[in-house]
Amino acid sequence: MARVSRHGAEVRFFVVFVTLTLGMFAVLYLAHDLIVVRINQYVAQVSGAIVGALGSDVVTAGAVIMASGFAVEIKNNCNAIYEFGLFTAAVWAYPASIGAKIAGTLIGAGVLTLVNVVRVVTLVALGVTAREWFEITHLYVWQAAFFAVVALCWFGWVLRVSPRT
Amino acid sequence: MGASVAWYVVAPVYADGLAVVARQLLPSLEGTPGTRYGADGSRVQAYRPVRLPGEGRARDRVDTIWAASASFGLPFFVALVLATPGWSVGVRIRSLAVGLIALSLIQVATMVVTGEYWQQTPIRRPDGSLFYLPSHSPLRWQVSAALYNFAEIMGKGFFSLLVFLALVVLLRPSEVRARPNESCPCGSGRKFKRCCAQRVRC
Repeated sequence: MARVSRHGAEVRFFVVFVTLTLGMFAVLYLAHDLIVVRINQYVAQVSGAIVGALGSDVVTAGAVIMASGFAVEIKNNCNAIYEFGLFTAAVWAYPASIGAKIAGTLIGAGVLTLVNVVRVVTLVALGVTAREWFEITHLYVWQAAFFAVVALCWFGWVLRVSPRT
Repeated sequence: MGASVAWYVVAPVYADGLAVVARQLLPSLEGTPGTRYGADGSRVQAYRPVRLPGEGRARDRVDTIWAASASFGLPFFVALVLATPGWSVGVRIRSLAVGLIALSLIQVATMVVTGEYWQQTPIRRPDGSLFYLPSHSPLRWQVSAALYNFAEIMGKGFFSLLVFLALVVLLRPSEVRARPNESCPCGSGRKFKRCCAQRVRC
């Protein structure tokens, strides 16, 4: 009986996780101009300001950062928003109290935003100083590393909450 | 980071394997006669012969239907399995084998969706007008665009996480290596002997 009930909780987690992930994707996909484009611009402005503070000549225009002859555009998978959607789906699918879910969502948003800005700043700095390493770092290393951060945030949160079931 | 670098090295071989699958699978779904598929470095590409109105002969439209650089879900999954505490070598090897097979099937599905998306996407001509391939259908374009974007933007991490969590759930507690007084690998915070070890006895 206990085994059936344990698997019931797991099946429920998977169903809710998949449903919430698809729901988050649908909202962001349909509200691309309203949400995603604005966040792209925000990420570009914040990252550009930090790169400028580090001593580079920086111009930001919309979601584009131009630094010392090198330009990057913030797009999906560079803005952390879909990754945050995935994290939020995993948090809200897990059996925990509402307070723990809200706290996890807010802290996760902060951590992912911060790490994403670090990612963009390091990539811009790399593009300016060692452009030959930009592509492998951008496409191979940081993309996987960022999802590792998402997973770490979620596992860290799970270890700190008491499941209700 | 190690998994990502390893992926960068083996990706061309993996792309060759996917190109073989593409050559077997995709012609039956292809709407443009004469389309060829092949690996180009760490990418799989579709070469569609297209003749635009007013052009004398057909030229290849090259669409990337799979790229290793956009498939970071695989190294991410490997890193998750290798970093999980409390798993024996045998469990890790089995998890990697099962997970990589599952994720490779998802890669094939993603390649099919991407191929469909590109053959539904019109070509923009120099004068700004759009040219649609013969197999174009507005509904298929919308559906394939949504699936393509999901796979491209959110799917990689999602599928890897999903497969990893499924493996965690499916692993029996007896397969998890822990001493009785160590904290339980399930993450409850209790000692192993007072947590999952009791389930094994039950």
